[in-house]
Amino acid sequence: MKRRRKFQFPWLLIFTVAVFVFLFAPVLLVVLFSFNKTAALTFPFHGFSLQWYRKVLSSPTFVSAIFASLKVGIVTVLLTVTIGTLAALGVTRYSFPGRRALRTLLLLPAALPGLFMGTALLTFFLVAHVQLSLFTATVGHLVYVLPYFFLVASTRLDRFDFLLEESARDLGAGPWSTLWRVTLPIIGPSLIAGALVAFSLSWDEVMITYFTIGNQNTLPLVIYSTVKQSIDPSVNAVSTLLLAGSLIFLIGARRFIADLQT
Amino acid sequence: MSEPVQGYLQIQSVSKSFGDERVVDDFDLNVAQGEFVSLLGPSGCGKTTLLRMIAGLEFPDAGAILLEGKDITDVPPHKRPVNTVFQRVTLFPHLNVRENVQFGLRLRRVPKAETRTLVDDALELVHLPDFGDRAVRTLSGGQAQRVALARAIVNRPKVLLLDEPLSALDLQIRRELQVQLKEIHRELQGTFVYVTHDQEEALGMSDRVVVMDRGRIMQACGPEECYRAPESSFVASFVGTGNVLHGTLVASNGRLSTVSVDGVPLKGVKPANAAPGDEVALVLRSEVIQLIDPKTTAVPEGMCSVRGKVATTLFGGPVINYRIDVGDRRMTASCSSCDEQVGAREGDEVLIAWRPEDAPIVRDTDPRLQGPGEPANEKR
Repeated sequence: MKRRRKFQFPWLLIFTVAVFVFLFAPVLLVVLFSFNKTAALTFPFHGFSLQWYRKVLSSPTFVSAIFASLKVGIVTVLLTVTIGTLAALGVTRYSFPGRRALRTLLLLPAALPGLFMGTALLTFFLVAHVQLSLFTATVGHLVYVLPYFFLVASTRLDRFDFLLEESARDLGAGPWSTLWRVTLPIIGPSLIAGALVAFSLSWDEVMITYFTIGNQNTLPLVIYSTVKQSIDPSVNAVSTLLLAGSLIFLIGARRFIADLQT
Repeated sequence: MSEPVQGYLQIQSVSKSFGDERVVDDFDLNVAQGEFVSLLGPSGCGKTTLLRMIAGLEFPDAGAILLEGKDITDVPPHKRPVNTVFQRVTLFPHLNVRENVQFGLRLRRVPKAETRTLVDDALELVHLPDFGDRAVRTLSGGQAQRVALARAIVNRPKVLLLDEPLSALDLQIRRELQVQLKEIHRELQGTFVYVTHDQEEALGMSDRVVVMDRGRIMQACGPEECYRAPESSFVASFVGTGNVLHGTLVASNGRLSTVSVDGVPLKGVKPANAAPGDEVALVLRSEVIQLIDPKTTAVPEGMCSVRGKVATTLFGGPVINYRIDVGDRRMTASCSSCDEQVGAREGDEVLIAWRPEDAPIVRDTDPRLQGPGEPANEKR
């Protein structure tokens, strides 16, 4: 057990508390007002109510946006996990010319500005005559999310002992059997962690989605346009839902990220 | 055991290169059924590559590997009736001990009840009967390798391949497991091919030792013969400890010959494969040497001797090891520490004496490896 010194600087304590209040007070306010009885975004509170949630869930715009976000997120994750895992296996297991360059290249999109990615994808789809839709938005998300997943998967595979696979082969397992019985079970927790992170990135992505989705809407886009038009307290409710979605996935990922560090 | 079938496992003219380096060079070996064969050699001599080719984890560039007369050269590893215990621990971390051991049985769809019995028997055999439910990470190094051994033998492989399975373990555990392994071999009457760079392991456990260097066989024979009658200076210096003195064969007289080492004539057993004028080496094992105090004792009849000065003494429990300077050369000798006559101290003048019948003379194959000492490199 690490011994920690006692924290004993009052000014530093006050400063620290102030930083956290600054960081999290807006978040708490949004959550709080989402349960408010009246439409006014002011204190004092006039009572607890779920009316804004009811309003959101009965609004076709919001509901269809939630489903659109889920669709894009799930398809993005499925594609990301498949492509990312295969790419990570490729660059960690085989040696071929350009291996290191490929590794860097696969991480690059994460470093590009979202605005740039958005315009680039839009231009590409226009040039290629692809109708903008949830599909093009999904492609955009895939490009954006893949590097994060690839980083997680390749880091895990760097530590994977390929002699375990030879052992499995030696004991009578064919190549597929080895993948299912040995490789995937061992790297699985990391892949799940990566997938959860990928989903939460896709879930609240705005910039690339905005450029590539055409006349459809995901949840973050609906929130954005609603806020722009008027101050509607149901935005608080839907933002809280968005927050809850992200948190569930990030907390889920934490469980598996522990595996990355062992 | 009944008369073993010759050529149970046959390795025929097998060669393998990695890049420009020829790791296994036109290699021939027949292993009999039930035989315990060790491949002994320095790191990089090709012994592990050879083993991996038998396992199917590498494929030869040329030559063939036959098991029970069937050509298995191109058969993939999971279709070969052989199993391997690797140098590093390769237990599957996501499975417990029992699940690890039954891995091969499950793949072959052995019925549950039978699997259970076989796994229990295998764990019993490696002296870990109650370890089935243990997680792999809770095992010590020695326990892990025993589970790996159980995981291999539970499949009753036609050949069990062992790739330096003990080399990562502490000396004491290693010694203990050597004994266990030899007993397991006797009990299963299986065919074992064991790779090691540790001559003590090879000599102690195997029926036959195959000494390798640079992808070729230097000598293949029983452990005692390897030690007492090496055919070359490489084998003499790699197997056993002691002094390998390089020189020129001068003359032979009956069973004995004389070797000129740095101009000094020394006597040993006449070599079968050398003529006067050839480069040879005189092999003086530490234990055949007697140290004599020249001031008090005469050299006994029939022994020959050289004069030296004790440089260092090392107390080694049952024996005392001496490093003795003879001219520019440093020689080793060891005497039982029970022997009261021995009392040579550092700085003493001594006579190193031996009976020529105990000192083989061998062909000088490799001047790289001079005198006693460890094999030069530790690559893997």
